[in-house]
Amino acid sequence: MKSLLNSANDLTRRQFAENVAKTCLGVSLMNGLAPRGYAAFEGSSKATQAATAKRVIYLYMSGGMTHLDTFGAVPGADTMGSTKTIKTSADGVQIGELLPETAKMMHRGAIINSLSSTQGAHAQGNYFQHTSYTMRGATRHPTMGAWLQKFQGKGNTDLPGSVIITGDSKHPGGGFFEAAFQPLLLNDPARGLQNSRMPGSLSEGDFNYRLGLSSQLDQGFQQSYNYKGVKAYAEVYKDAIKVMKSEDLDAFDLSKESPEMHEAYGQGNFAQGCLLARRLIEHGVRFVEVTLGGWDMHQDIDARLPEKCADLDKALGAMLTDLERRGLLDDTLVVLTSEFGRTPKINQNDGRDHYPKAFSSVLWGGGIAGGQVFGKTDKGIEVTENKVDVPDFNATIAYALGLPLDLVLYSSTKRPFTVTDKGKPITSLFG
Amino acid sequence: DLRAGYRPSKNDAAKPARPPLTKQQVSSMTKEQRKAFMDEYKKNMTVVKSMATRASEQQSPARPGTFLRTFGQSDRELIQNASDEASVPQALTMLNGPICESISGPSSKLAQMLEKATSPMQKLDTLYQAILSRRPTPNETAILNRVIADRGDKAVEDVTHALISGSQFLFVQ
Repeated sequence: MKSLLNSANDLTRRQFAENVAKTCLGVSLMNGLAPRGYAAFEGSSKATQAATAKRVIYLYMSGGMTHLDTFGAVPGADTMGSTKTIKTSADGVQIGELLPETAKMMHRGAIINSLSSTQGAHAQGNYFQHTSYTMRGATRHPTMGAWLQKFQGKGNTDLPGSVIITGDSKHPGGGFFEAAFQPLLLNDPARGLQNSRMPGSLSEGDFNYRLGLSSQLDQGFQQSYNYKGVKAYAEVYKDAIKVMKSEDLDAFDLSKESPEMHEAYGQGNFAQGCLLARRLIEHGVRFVEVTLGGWDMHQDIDARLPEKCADLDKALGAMLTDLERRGLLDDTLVVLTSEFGRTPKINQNDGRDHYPKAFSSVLWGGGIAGGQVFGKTDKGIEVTENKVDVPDFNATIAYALGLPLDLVLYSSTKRPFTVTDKGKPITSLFG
Repeated sequence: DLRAGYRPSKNDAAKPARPPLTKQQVSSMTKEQRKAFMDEYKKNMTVVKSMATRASEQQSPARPGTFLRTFGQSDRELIQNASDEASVPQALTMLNGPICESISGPSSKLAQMLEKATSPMQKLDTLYQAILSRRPTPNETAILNRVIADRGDKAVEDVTHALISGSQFLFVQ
């Protein structure tokens, strides 16, 4: 008996050697889960949940939307300027009076009033908000749509994984990911995906013949220059042809929507973009971003704000009601954000300047418990409770989608990146 | 509101009916007649549908969705906001856009050069020199001969389209 117990306690030589190796040489126990086990990326959140949102509509207010006159409104504060607040469909939540239609849908939304950033310039703020990494010369980081496609694939194999509807030419896009993950950039939603049908004079047989001929003539070139960059361009052509031949090409055609729909959303690039976004998510595109520019109001904010807010309000209100009516709002996360807010103090030109220290963003649907406000500022100047960093905000979006926040992927230059750097999601927002 | 500027309503921009002129008619017009025709057409149109306008004649920045913007022209909101990324709309413009029709139409410079060549093989030779700045390799010549045998008259247009939408045109050496 004693000898058995003794032998049970004794380490065999093999086990002893293994233990030494593990402690001294850093050989990880979790070899099977190698990608997740990296201690090289400390600080990224391990929070994860089953996805409550299947898709995202990301509304980006470019230029720095004023937080005090819209969602971060503090009733009665002297920093409010000439904007009053109105009641919303959510108890105890008030927003600026220029957003009446949106106020009717706040019972599905959560306002985050305590966002804080260090990037006060447009290009840097824009980049930071889209990628959760500060702008640097060494790498271009991917945006959320590309990460979503990388981790969870496309919703519709023929259509692009993510679509960005913007007037802006520059967008971080898919960053260092391969060409297949780059989003499709659309400049003018009203005209749809231009040149997506063959010219009428050309028959399908002719077109296919020419495509075949093109790849035949290219063969020598492709063989002698077998580089990733060269192949990437060929990939873009292949993607384009796939989109052309897909049955869901009608998703890009806004003329298929009824005139009442167009009336409800309104005219203008943003409104048509929202309508197109709703169409695209119905056809399986999982990430659509629509940009509304012109928020950079350094002068005459009282004169410029009503029109800009009217554009936003009409389209946003119509889109949210539309999504709810179609039952899509439960698993579609609608995000409204900007790169920074605007100063609480009105400047000498009757405008407001950049203010990244405290600003607001809003989330609707996609598992968010509606009707709540997260974080507080004192009159919009300083964040007083629950400060949220921009990576944290993006981590919340990734958390809703069920993306792994600590999974490290490497760029072509072998640098490690995660979805939102070290962002921690605001899990209390989810009901 | 003066600040909003002059914004004619979208419905005013009625699409002008494209005058029924065939390619042959266009190529047989004299230079003056063509110029007069294009002036009339341009006066009635708000959307640039052909490749006949110069980039410097367009508003700057060009309207979103037009050729220059699709290929990365800056929107001039920030300094150096131009993009040099490839995108699917760019590929679609090369595949289906007015480029191929414009350069292989009978009134283009390329067509005039091609008319000087006599045999189909010489035409394709000229085409290669115009588009890729080189002569076709022996392998390519074999492929082109087959194309001429299969397609006859349409060979030149086919090869133009194939070359324009291929990788070599992007990386002309």
